[in-house]
Amino acid sequence: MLEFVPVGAVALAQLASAAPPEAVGAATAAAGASAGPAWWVWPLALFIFTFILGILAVLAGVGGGVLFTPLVGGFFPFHIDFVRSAGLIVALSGALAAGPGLLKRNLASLRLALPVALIASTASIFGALIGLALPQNIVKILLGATIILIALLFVVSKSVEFPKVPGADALAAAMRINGIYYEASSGETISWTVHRTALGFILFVVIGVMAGMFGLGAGWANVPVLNLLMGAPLKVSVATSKFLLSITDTSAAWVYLNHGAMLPMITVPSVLGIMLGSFVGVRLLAKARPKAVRYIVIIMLLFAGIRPLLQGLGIWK
Amino acid sequence: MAVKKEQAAQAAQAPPEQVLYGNILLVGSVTGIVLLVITFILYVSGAVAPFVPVEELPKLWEMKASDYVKLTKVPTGWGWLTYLGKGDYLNYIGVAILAGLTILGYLVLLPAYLKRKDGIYSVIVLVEIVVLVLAAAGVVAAGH
Repeated sequence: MLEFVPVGAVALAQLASAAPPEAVGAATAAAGASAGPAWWVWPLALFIFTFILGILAVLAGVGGGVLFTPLVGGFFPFHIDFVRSAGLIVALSGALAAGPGLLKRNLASLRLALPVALIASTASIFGALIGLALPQNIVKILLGATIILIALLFVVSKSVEFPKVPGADALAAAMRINGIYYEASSGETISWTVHRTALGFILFVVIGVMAGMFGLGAGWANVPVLNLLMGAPLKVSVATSKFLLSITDTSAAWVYLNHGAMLPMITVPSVLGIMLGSFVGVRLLAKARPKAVRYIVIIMLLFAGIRPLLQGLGIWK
Repeated sequence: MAVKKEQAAQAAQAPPEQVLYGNILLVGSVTGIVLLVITFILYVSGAVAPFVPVEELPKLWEMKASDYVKLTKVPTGWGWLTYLGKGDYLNYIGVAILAGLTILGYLVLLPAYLKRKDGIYSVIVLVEIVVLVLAAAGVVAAGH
């Protein structure tokens, strides 16, 4: 059940009764003794895992966020709340790091991104609130089903480099959603506009809710909507999508931060692992066989989707 | 041919406010990530003692966030600001910078669109600032 209450007031009340570290130790002792490995084993494993994930994500041309949440949520002992918040910060960091280059080269278009971002970021707040309010098994079932759907989307969806747009529709014309970018491979400038704008905007409500609810980067959904439905050129769609994540994930990330759902011990190794992996991935890109890597990622996604789905259904603990 | 290519590249240049936004993201994201690295080293090395002892984390990270907050009495909302002397909450500075950059970028865009009398985009930017500030301020919360 969602309710709207000022978190600030709750925080002040909690600050007044904040427990000292020794009290935390006593409280956790009451939570039960853990006979598992030393505290640093899982964060170190997470760093190594996300480093490899960062390499694979670049080689397969997917955002790290979409792989991070289901895989870490399924195979690490962390609660899905902390994984989703880390997933959002991972996707946000990647988008912020890529944003400057994409904006300066005019590949990411503010005229296309700003209205879509407003819709998706507002929806992602509600998604994050729904995700935090739902029981873990329901979130895992929905996450698993979504990830399997994404894997199938990767198999069947095709992108079009320069979609045919007969002309801007009324909404795109009124908002002057169009642009021009320099295509370095041909030395030409490419002018573009979009159509089916209203339908595209509606779909971004759904994308925003899912991004916030599952802590996924939403590039897998942004690009097909911008490219195949609205008709933006592929490069503009990919770049605008990446930039969009920096806005959409910001609003959802604040919701998790404000709820105390961000554990630096999970978030920081993940961000650093994915970033370092991405740098290595970019260097390997010239030598790798992207098609083979793409198939590996699709299989990983299927596996990553099946795991939370079965966990949520209580079949695979 | 070379001149034509140069003209084409110039025609496709990004508007100044877009370049400025890009520069803000560049400086901010590098600052945020460098701070994350430094504060995380201070945290895990024990140089700055954490609020929640690291040895306790394996018992806690399996819990739902709301149960974790209830049990450990960690701060929510902006309460972390008063815990910056603790190693774990020191890491929030870098995360908050990363999560705050978009708001800063939009604050730069607003005067540019207002100056250009671009009514629709001025409103979009203004509403987005309100949405992000409300999210950052923690005005809404999930209950159970």
